[in-house]
Amino acid sequence: MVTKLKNNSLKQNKTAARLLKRAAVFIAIFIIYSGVLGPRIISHGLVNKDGFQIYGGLGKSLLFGILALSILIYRNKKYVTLKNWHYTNLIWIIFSILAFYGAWQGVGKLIHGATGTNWPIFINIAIIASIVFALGGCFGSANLRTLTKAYKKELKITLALIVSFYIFLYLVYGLWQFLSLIILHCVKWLMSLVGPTSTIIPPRTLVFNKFGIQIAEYCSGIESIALFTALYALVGILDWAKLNHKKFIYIFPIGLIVLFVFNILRVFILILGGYYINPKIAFSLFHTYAGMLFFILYSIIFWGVSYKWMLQKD
Amino acid sequence: MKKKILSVIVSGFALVMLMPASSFALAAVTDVTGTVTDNGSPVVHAHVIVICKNVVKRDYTDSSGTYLVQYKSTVCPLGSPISVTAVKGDAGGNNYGKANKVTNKLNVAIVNVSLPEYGLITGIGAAIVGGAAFMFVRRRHLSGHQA
Repeated sequence: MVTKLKNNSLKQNKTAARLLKRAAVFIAIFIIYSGVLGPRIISHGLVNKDGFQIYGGLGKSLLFGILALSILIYRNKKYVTLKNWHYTNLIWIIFSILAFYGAWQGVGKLIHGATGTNWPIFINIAIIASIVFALGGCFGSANLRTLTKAYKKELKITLALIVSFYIFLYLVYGLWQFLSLIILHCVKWLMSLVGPTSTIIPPRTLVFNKFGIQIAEYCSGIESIALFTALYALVGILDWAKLNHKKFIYIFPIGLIVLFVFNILRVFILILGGYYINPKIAFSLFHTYAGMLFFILYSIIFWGVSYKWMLQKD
Repeated sequence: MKKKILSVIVSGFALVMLMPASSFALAAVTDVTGTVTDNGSPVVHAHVIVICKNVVKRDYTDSSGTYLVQYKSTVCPLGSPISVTAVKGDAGGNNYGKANKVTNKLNVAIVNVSLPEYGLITGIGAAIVGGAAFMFVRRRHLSGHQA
């Protein structure tokens, strides 16, 4: 009896490990597609038309959903027999690449001035098809059916989480102008404490006696808020049984506020570097690296301070 | 007497002749001009802020996307660093240069796409290391709990 249980547990672990591997490959393909096509759409100013604006939030929500589902499956391992990856799955991958190539070409047509609704419809279908085919290629259609049956509850929870996360992102992205204005005034004040005075040129430009800088959408910290929220929710899914639920919920807005203060400091330090060292280096080279460094620093401090407290069940 | 009158006329003439030169010297200017473009097309009525030696001057671009501000050469002498910022709505751009001659051309490309808070790689890096930081803290606390 004990041997049988051990064998079952081993099989469950093997299935979970296999699933995680395939999920990792799918996430990699997903990121490559987004990383190649996304900048092409953004850099040519197509992001706010032809229905492409949904992909920013949708992509993040989907990625978040995959990770959430992986954790849910890992937490509730079931004995499921999965078929091995077969080379016929490669056909799905080829279809996926072809669909992606079609989307790439379609975007090229729009860049070169194509008008009408045919190309946008084609591109949107091609983008969705490339992701669906990649899913089939990584997991196999038979395995997807088996998993859907076995993890119906987890899939429903994931779907609810994806929708909630997407709505949250939509609301947060809608706040960027307000957040940018707060950063603009805070940075102006902080800089005046250090020395340099500045003038605000509406809507969001801060002009010093050496250069001017815009507090644009991506300086408003919304990406950090999205990333922090996703990680926070994943922590909740992973440790729900261990956490004090009240504390977990209460600390979230505090975490967001402190994260926003960190973002103000990030922009302040970048401008300070630009003012006293070199504006080009500060704003071009270090802009995105500073975002990453500050987020990592914040994660270490936040979890180091709050996690132990969240675990205490009063 | 005649000599005196002649010398007055000559010196007066010399004074008049010298006047434009001196007035030119007083009015010597450093021009900063350029075109503001977005994807290669000129941007009309962009707000342009030029800074030379801590002195801020502003202008709006005309129908060809061109701006022009003038500094007295004493305010913005040769060799001074110049910064130009152009703003149109939520789009903006910068350019930097030095006052190398009387007329300095500094074009500004307005970008309506800012640098993202995270690039693709840095975003993935932030997510992975941020998650790893949590896992590290989690392991420490949970192993502490079990002990």
